[in-house]
Amino acid sequence: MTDALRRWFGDLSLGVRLAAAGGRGSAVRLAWITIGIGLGVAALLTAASAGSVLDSHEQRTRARIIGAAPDADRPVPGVSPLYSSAVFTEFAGRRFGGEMLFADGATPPKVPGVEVLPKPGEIVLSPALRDLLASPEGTLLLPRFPQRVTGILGDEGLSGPWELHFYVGVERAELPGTSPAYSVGVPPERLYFDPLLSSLVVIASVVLLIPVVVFVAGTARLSASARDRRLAALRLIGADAGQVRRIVAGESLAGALVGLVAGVVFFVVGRDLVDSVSLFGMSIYGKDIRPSPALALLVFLVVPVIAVGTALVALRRTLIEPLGVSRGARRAPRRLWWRLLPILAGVALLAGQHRGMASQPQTALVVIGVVLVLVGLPMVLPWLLERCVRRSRGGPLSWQLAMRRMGAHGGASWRIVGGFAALLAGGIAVQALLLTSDSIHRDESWTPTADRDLAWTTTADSESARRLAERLRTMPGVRRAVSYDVVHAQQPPHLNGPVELIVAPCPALRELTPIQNCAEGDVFSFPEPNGEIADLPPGTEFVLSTAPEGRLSWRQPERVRPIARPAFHAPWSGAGLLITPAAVGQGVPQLQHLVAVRLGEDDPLALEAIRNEIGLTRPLSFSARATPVSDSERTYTAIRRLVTVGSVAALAVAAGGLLVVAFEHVRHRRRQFAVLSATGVPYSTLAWSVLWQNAVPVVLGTGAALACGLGLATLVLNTTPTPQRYDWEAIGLTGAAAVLAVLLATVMTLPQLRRAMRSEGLRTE
Amino acid sequence: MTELLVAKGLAKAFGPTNALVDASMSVRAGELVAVMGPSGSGKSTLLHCLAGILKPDAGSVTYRDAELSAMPDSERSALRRNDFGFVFQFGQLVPELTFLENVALPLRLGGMRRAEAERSAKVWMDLLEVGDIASKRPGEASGGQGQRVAVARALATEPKVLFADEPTGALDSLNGERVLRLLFDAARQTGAAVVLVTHEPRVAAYADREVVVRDGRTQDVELVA
Ligand SMILES: Nc1ncnc2c1ncn2[C@@H]1O[C@H](COP(=O)(O)OP(=O)(O)OP(=O)(O)O)[C@@H](O)[C@H]1O
Ligand SMILES: [Mg+2]
Repeated sequence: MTDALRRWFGDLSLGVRLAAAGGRGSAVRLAWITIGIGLGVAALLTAASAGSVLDSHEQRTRARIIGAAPDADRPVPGVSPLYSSAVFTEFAGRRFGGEMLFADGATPPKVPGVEVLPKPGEIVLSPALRDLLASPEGTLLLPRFPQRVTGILGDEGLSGPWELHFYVGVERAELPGTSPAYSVGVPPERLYFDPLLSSLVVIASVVLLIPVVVFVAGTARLSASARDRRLAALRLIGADAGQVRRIVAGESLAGALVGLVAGVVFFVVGRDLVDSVSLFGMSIYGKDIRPSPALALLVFLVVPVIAVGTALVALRRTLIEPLGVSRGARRAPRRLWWRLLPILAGVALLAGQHRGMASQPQTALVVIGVVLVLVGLPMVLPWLLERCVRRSRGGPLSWQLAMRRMGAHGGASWRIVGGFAALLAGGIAVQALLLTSDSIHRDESWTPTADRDLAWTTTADSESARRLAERLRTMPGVRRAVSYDVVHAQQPPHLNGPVELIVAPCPALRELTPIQNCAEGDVFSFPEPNGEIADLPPGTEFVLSTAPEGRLSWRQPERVRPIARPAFHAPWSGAGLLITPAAVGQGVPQLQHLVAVRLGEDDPLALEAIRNEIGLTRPLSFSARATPVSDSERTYTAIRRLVTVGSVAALAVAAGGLLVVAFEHVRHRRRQFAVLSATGVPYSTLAWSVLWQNAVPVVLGTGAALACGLGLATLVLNTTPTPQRYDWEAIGLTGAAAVLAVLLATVMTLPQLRRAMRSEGLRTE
Repeated sequence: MTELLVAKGLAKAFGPTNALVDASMSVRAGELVAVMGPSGSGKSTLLHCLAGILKPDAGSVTYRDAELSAMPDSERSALRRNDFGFVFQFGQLVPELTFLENVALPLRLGGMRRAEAERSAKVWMDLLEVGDIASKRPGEASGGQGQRVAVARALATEPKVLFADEPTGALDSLNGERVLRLLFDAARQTGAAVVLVTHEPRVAAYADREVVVRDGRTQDVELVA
């Protein structure tokens, strides 16, 4: 028993020895296996952490919401109330925010990441905001933060290391209408996963798994002839079939284990990097990237199993007999029908989930469909390549040489190219999915053209609104600025459009629109944008307040004079009345104090100055500009960039695999090249033949991948009700990377080819 | 002398080519049999059938009264590991391993510990005068040195039969002679029988017996020395 075990172990360790043995050629191969599997494993571990990243992000933002818990406004003994209101500001296309705080007492509830709450005139900043303000780019923003910095936010109060966030202390009066809070944070809740996002994570994992499989399978086939010779030699001296299998298992296990270790190292190093370098605008704490233990275990199990499994499957196909493969029978041509099965099944599944045909698309089925197509692609490609190679007749000598060689020993590079294509196709599909889901989060359904220059802000009272308008009027970039109050009133039931009630003294009304004669007590009426006058007979009642102390309403007087529509009004607002304060009377409860601004031509500098003048605690809103997404809403964009970078990186690794194939190819055919060159075949012909041999599979593979990826994206997006969009830039980038990979692989083999062609090529064992 | 290996009425075809038609021969313990014949006559095929590497289409090969074609693969592998040794023209060494590891390989496959296997491998390499290149790899030595390493490996398990298929075919005559002399001496020391395929009558002259293969048929020529 122990003896048998020892021999098993002996066979395995012999395999490990063989994997590590063999001079430079196999050292390069082992290095590539390590890097290839390592990157794959790191990527898989990252994908396995997607849940923890999103979860932590959600928890972190939930933990700092003030007074949103169900019982947050119930007084807690020993805790003094905290008043707050969220604020947002924009700078250089970035939207970020914080809270205005007023702590009414010495023992306010604890805000995460804040040591001491800021008093009025003080502020607590996130490290990223502090750094931005201290940097040259931040000088423009600096005037918006005149407060005294009394603290820096800790990690626990931020969603990520690069988040811009702040807590500014204000007076109680600046927080009208807010209720006191006695607790901070909302109890953690099970995260709602967007079904599209979760299927994306699964698809991305599969796409990432493919290079691992391809690498393992490809490297198992890399030096197929050398390995077959080696195993034949072992068989000759008496290794039985089981021993050969164990030796092969040991060989591939060695690569897989080294790759796993490298993968964990890559993952850990990359995770630490996330804290110190802002990658692709992502703001994630390294400590939040925690692979789910179950998934990590799965990765650790699946990768070696795939490695050993593919090696053993490949072994089954190349019959290892003591005389080696040189005397073996001719290989049967590849059959198409069973290779087509996965793709057909996948397409059928996806088509079946097409919206309209299925009442409710099932994510699991969609994912299975995608996986089937992606797995099927590398199975069909070798057949396609073989067909093309066998069809090819004629052409220059270099082309013929390449075709014949591919016909004879295509296996390894075809498999690599197949995986490469699957990877590319998966990348394109994920790209399209991400882009589509991105548009859910960023509302771009309307593209405003007019009135982009119209903006407004609110102030605490009419007087400060008037003064702000005055100050703004003198600033560069401001064409006009006016202040007025808006009364919030219930609309009379018979009106179908909203009517705005604007209250301002005559001089301010004249700023809004030309008025010939204006006296206190006057009321004017302006039409809708299309010129229609609202149906407002004298005596129409506007209910201003339904408070229990007494119903308050305002009746439209007899005399209402028509005037032109104020130039400040956004096209989407309706008709309205301009009312002098005397006409409203006393006791109007809810007045909103507005300052409206018309800007000059687009001038980001002036815009930031205007924002600074308005101050941090009041946002400047635009009527017709999309608000940029805030930092915490950029997840999709970040993931999409990450996918692009990931697929380019994986392509690079695949290109590296191709390079190894090309190297091995030249190395093993040193003698042939030397003989060819000795018989007078010029170097350029041989070099071209190497180029053809690399390029033909890659071009075919890239073409198939583009077709497959776009088709896949179309099919998947058809299962969702979202409009389809493709990131042509990223697709072009990946395609270009593929072509570059071929050229690089070829160029890098040329020195070796040249060396092989010299005399030493003739000398081999 | 006892007959170790007996082949009777062997036939083997590769597609349309009849490599062996009707071949019979025997090998006795410790003797040296030379197999001669024109190129393509079926010498290598006969050798492979004798060693149980190839299965004949017809006829039988018995080793110590056991029918080779009736054995399962694992038993035939064990036979190759323990009782047979092989030296071919080239290509039987594992290029990834050093010479020492190559010689130790059959011992390790047989379950011997690494250190022990390499120690006894070194002894054989010294015997064949290649002990000094133990740490080199097959690409890094001359053809004659490589063949001597191959002989050392074939003999390391102290086989009963050593099969050699033109072991010196790729060497110049001086080097070839040297390798053969070492092979014969070492085989005689261990008492191994040698089945040697060769083209050269000069080499065949060392043999106890000569088998001539012509168009897949054998003609036994008993040499009375
Ligand atoms: N695996 C094979 N597939 C097809 N034909 C084969 C195979 N092995 C041998 N042959 C054919 O069988 C015949 C005998 O081959 P064999 O190698 O036994 O000859 P040989 O006497 O060893 O020749 P040489 O002296 O050139 O080595 C030849 O015609 C050869 O082409
Ligand atoms: Mg022969």
